[in-house]
Amino acid sequence: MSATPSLSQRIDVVAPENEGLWRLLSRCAMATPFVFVLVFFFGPLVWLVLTSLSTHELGSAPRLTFSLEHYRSYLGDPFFLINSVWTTVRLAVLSTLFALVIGYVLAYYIAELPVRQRGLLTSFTVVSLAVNIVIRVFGLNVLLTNNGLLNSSLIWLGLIDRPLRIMYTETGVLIGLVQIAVPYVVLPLIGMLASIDPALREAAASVGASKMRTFWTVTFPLSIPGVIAGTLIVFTLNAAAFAIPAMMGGGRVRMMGMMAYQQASINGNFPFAAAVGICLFLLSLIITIVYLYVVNRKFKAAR
Amino acid sequence: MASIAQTSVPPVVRRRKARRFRWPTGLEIAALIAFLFVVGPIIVVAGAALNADEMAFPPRNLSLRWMIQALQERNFMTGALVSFVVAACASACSTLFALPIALGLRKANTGWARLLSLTFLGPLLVPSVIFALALYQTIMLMFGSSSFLGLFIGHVIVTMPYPIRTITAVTEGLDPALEDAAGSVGAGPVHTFLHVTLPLIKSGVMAGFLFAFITSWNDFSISIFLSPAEFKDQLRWFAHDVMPAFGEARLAAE
Amino acid sequence: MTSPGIDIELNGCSKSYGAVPVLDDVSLQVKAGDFVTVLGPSGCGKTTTLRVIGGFITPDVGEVKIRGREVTDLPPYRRNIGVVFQNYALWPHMTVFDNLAFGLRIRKMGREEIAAQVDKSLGMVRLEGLKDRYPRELSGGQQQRVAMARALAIDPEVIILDEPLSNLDRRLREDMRIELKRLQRSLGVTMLFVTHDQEEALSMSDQVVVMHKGRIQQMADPRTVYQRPATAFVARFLGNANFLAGRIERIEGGAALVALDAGGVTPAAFSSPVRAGDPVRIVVRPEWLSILRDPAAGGIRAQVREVIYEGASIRYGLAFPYAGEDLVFVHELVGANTLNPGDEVSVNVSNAVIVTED
Repeated sequence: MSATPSLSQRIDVVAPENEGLWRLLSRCAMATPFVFVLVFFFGPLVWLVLTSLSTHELGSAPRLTFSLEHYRSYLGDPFFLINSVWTTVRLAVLSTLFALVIGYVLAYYIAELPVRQRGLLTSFTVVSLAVNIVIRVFGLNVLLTNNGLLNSSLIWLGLIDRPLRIMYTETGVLIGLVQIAVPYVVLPLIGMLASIDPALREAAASVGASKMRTFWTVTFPLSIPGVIAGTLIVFTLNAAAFAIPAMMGGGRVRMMGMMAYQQASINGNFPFAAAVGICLFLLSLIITIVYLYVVNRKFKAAR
Repeated sequence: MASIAQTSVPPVVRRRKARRFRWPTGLEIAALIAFLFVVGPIIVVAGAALNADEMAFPPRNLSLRWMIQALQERNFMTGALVSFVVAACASACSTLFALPIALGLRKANTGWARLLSLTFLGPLLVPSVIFALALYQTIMLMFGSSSFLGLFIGHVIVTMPYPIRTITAVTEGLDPALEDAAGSVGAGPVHTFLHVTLPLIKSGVMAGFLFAFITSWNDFSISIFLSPAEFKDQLRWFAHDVMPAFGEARLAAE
Repeated sequence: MTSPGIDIELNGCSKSYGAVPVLDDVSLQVKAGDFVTVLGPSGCGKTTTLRVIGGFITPDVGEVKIRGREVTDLPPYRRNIGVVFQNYALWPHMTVFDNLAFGLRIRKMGREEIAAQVDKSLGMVRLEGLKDRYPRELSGGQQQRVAMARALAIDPEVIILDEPLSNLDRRLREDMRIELKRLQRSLGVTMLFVTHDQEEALSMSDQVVVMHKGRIQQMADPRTVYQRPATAFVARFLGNANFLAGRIERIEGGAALVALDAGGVTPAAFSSPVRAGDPVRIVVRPEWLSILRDPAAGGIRAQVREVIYEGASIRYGLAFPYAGEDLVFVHELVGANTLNPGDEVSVNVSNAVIVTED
């Protein structure tokens, strides 16, 4: 055996890392966020559930009675159901669909660009995420109001006679929701599309598939994981939206998130707000599960 | 003859290839529209802010008047500062929390681990306004008053899923043999973590921090409920003070 | 107690994942300075054995000793073992120099010492001048050598290698085999090499350990493992094997006289204890059989069923009596006397080994 014995002995001489200490530290490091989330996330959730089962007392704290009165009055009332639940589902699904279409187009274009430009545009998209919701609503407002750019252009082009009412209607809320949502769809899709092997598309072209065909049979199925990631984020985000409906809808477009906020802050009716919130949560959860199940079944091959 | 030899070979001319004009494809047009849709309102606001008189786009007379006034506006600057500090601290904290979680959970492949990682993504699923309300109540119950701490805690919870997701994405591509190799040459767990693991997941950590920061900066719901009175942050100010003022101005214009 | 000169020792190591046993009572000893190959198909436990020696897996039962020192519960970074991984595991964010210096810096070596040791290690694998490259800038063969140099740089007590040549193309693989062996010889460092390639095992090793389903089937030098396989699996895994059934008549000298079902009696070597009267299976490799054109010449009567031309030789598939549909294969150099299917011949057995079942 060659070489200096000193080197092989050194590994014992070198101050050994205190494994016990490291193990303790790493256990603490894992436990701390866990405890943190337990207390500050599950704690409030528990409060939420309990409150939703309480009775509202005017002027003082709600009394825990384990009654389902709020759920009954919310879900049993056709006004609420048609108005807020259906509106919420409708707007959330529609905005997700539109955001998917717009976002996919943008992501597809960006993914095809050479790396430098791709990075630039991706950064733009990220930056647009950073812009505040209020500013965006502001901007949309200016664009969509009666004298705004959109109406003025349409009138100038002769397409309409009188300005379209967009602000403070459902359409306005929908536009606002889509506006917020598009960057969330674009970002995961860029990565997904860029990672698809171009050879796969070339193979499709080589057997005679048109561009459209190639897209639907090769590119789209392979991008499904990115589609799922983006649409899930967007759906849950928009289902819970309360700022957009409040600002773009003038309070007239009732989405569940906004209702909950109003009940809590304006009426002070915490239990009712909590009940609405829990209903919203369950609604998102159910739709998400169904969505994942359907997509998994349909696009099994691509996974 | 010499002259024939010269004229029969055309002179080499350096010509710049003229850029051929190409009609934009359908995809390019669609992408442009999509892009405008995304950045439109932002440009509008920026443009309107540069307008000399009232809110109008496109700006008619360019002026920096409003920008200067905004920067001088006390509330705005304090609000912005608070937002920044909260975002920076909260995202640093949530990224630090996310590291051990993402690293610890990747080794365990059991059903428990999967369930656990799903629960850490919980804040994404619960409607933010409802959670904010619930968190506010919980903090009141625990601490008796809403303070900077409450705001901080709320932002950490809400931002944590992002670094967890980005770090997990990177660790999934990390070859465990790289860490085994470090052990084989004598590196203990600390050394391996600092010199091998961490540099290799750097991109996930930074991306996670970035997303956390953006989320916290943008946050509306948590801040509405949990900002202590004296720390009215930028959004509350904006939402409660500016919007109504803007509403009045619009009504006047119409 | 470990005898002096044993560098690696495993005693009764077993490991299961749930109900699946991956290692089943594995014991082996590697002498200092030896090149030992652990050979077997995928899933046989050879990689697990390597990882147990390296410290990446702790056995459920049993002990591991390096140079007489018990290391069973020690983590890898306390074992001073060099490891060469199958995919090299070079740290992509470090240069070749840093990859090698990593372990040396942990040992608190001085700047000049480290530089000297790195140069020496790179010199051993003939890669001087690539110090400042990054792994992604190197070819597969170069990466493999850097991985080797990294293991050498820390001057380990033993080096374990996990199929390090399997990702190289054929030509390079053969060159590396020679180089690796030369390196091992000149340094005298003990190496444990894991592979599924029997050619590698036979050509490089001082000892071959054949594993199957978590157990060691046989451990011996290459010649013995080939000429005297202990089990049917070993016989099949290394080279070609024909099996014949028979019964032991008597034991004479060191060999057993086996009466073959197919006819005739042949002496056969045996490694595990047998008695007269035992039914046994013997293995005869194609090169231990010779075909006589005259079916009445003595030996075993057989009929030619298949004739396969292989260029330099011809492979005959012969049907033996009482062997059912199993053919016995024999090679012959191409000559004038090629047989045809249907021909009756006589076969002589020059060597036979009794094998146990796996």
